[in-house]
Amino acid sequence: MFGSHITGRKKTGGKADKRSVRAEEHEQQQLEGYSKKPLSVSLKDNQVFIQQEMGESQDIIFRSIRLTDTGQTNVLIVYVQGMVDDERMNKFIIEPLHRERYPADRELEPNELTDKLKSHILSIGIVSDIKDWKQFFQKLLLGYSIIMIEGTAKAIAANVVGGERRGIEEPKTEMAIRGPREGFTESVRVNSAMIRRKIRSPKLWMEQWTIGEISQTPVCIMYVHGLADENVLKDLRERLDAVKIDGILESGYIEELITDQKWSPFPTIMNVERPDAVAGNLLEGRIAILVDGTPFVLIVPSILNMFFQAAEDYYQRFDIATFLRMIRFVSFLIALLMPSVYVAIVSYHQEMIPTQLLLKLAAQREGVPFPAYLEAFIMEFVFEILREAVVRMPSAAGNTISIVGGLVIGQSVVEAGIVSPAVVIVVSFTAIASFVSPAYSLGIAARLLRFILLLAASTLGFYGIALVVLLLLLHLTNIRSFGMPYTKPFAPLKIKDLKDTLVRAPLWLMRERPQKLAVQNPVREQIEPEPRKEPGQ
Amino acid sequence: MSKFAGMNNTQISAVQCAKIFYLFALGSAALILPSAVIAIAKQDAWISMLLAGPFNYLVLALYLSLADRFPNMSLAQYAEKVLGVWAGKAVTFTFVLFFLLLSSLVLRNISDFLGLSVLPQTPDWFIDITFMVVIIYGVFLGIETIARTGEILFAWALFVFIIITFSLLNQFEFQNFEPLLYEGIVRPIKGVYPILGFPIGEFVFLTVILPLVKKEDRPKLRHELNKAVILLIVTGVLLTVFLIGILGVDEAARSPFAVYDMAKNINIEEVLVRVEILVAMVWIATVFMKLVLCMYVLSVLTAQMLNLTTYRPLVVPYSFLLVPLSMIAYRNAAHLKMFAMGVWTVYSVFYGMVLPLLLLVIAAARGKKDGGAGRFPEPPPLDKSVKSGGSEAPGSESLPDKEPSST
Repeated sequence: MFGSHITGRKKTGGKADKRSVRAEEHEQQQLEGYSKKPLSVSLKDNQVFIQQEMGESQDIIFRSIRLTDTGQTNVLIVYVQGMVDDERMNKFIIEPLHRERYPADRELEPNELTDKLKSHILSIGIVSDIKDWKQFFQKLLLGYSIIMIEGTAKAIAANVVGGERRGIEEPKTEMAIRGPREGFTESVRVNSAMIRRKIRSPKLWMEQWTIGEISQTPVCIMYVHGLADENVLKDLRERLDAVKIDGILESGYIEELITDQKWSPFPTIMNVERPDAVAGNLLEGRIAILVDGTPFVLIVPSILNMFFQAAEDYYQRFDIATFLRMIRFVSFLIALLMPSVYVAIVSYHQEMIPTQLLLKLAAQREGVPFPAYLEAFIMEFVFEILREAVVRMPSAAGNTISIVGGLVIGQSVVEAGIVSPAVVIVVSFTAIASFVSPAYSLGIAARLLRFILLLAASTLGFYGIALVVLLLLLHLTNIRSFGMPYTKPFAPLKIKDLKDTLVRAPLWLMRERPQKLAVQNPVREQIEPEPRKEPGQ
Repeated sequence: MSKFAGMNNTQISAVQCAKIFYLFALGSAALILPSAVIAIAKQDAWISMLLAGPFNYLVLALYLSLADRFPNMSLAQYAEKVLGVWAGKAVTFTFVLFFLLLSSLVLRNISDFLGLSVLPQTPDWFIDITFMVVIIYGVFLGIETIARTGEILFAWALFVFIIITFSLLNQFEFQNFEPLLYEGIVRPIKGVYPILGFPIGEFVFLTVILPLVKKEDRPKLRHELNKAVILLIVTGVLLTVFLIGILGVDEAARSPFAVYDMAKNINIEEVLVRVEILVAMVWIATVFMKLVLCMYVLSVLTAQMLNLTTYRPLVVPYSFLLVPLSMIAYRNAAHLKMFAMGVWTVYSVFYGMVLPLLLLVIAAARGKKDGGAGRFPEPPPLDKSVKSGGSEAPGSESLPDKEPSST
């Protein structure tokens, strides 16, 4: 599979690995070989070479057009079927070429023809020269159509990139009640344009990489020049340069390869599907990484606090947004801690339960054959299985799963007396709370850690929970995202930055950008710094 | 940066320093000390707490003036400058022993507490080992991480203190304080005695932490530490006042973990009952901070005494030493009482006040003053970011990690 092999790890692995290393070195040599090898002057030779290199694949289309009566000046158009926009191709490349006909006495020199093609025959916005095979294959496989002329070793690449792609739709993972309805698509160009439409500033800069030795995936970074920290940018460039992998199929590959923390369940790079969220982050001095082929855009540096912020928070009144933020924080804690706290209380600290409730719980637990922690483990595990099943299955089976999951497991397990109702309540409440987090990547960390906490609570009660929480705190305060402490602004405490954490202060109070992010230019431009006072008040 | 940093190029801010100082001071003392003071000073124990306040300032002033003379050096380093290499190393060695014993006592405190009150059936060694796992991880991660964790625990501790204070207000009995100064001022003055050793004498850990404070934060340091001391005195007095006011002198003096027992009295509408486990969580957190700092200081002092480039290889061996030592440090509660009352104060005051004062006097007499960094062996070539002096490194928080990312 793509991505199963990373060139940097040559020392590991057995024979199979070595073989793939060799294969890749071969591949590498070939690609480098292309760059040195110029195009041939003969169209025939070129066509043969392309067919040979691409294994005579049927979707590579060769279209030759004769421009002169004598047949000496031929033009060959090469493109990949399905990756070009046929209509534009016919209208702006083939039609103009058909109209050009040169009598035998007025033949043009090949180089002259090249210039003429570029200057007034091709009605295409982006045209570029191609001098060697590396460029040739790069452009061809990006969906350019390539025009080669008999008698010259130069070719012209014309951008008619098109073909069927998904249109702009509402983002699936980040719903919003209020806010723009558009989400990113799989095309990096469409995505960057969506960001540009939000930030119409010449200071919005972009840099491009092509990553993936075989997949040759375009990867862009976008940032607001003057806001983004140059140190972070430099670091990011170095890390992207260092990525050596066969293929990038999703931004998750980049995320995993450039992250600071290889061994952490917590995400140190955020992925976003909403252009408005990306734009907001860019304006605070962060950097966006766009990867072709996925609607998920990465944001660096990402700190813990960002995973509790939804774009919608800024579109609503600040008091309501603050309330929602608090709910999210509390829900995260519930999703993380509730089953383990339940187990700890029931098995070790019964005295904490008010007497009435304790009697109820004891009555429920009567006849239940398992200890509380085992019950909780079983139900949590069942829930995780249900959840995974619902994500992967065809939507037609959805009703079946909810009936089987909800009724059969939920109700009959209780009625049969295998599991006490309290555990079912705790697990389902935890499940609901775990869906509150606006960032899926953080919620998934909580899911994982829940089991560790459960284990600690069932062996050592609250002491175990305290130990694991201390470990987590140490871990969280230790990790960094591109040099930024993950728990900022809580630790190290930055009182000024607390305005956009648990609470969302009114916009007119957030006059300063987050510290250490926008070092060069710390103050937000404000049109109206404070609410205007009515005259006479 | 923090991952491969040597022991001297990590940095914390003045506020962080003050916060970890506060947590260290609460440490194991908040739970045990008030009963000891109340046993001596009875209902006037809160006056003892107040009287002990100035001593906090005195020791801090002592350490700060040492830090003024040798701003980038820890105790192990300036001891060598002041007394000469071998005498300095000898003094450092006694400090290492002091911190070794202190760490094991702190560990014993937590396992005693958990074993007696929270997990009566769990063997001590299991509690010790699980606790040490977290401590080892913390010490490995270094002072920057410890300080940041401290900031969060500080907020949590204050939050719980405030909650508990408010939820106990309705049971407060002013009669418990009468008669005020029944036997004159002598009794409260006697009550100061245990406080001097525990925790004030133990503040000597600051001599290792102070050189790690950012250079640009140094002017603020004194101010921030003073604030921490005020908060500390307020907490101490409040704790004692509440203990006496709620439990009464007899019960507070007899209870081994008085604050914990006091929290058992919380009862709000029969719903919020018996939340003493919250106190236990805070206490686990503060003891964790104290032990992590003790272990850190212990390892760093040893590393500096032995001229190592990093303290990290020492952490695990020391833990193997600590767990058995904590189990044999004293036999039982009665033995502890004798030890804590009779021996510890003298021992701790000697290391916390007398020795540093001697160092200061000798340094002043010999006119020793050194702004340079301590004598350190060259760092390994692998890590280029390690510089010989802590404060010469630029603000480490703004520096991105220099690790290679993908390969």
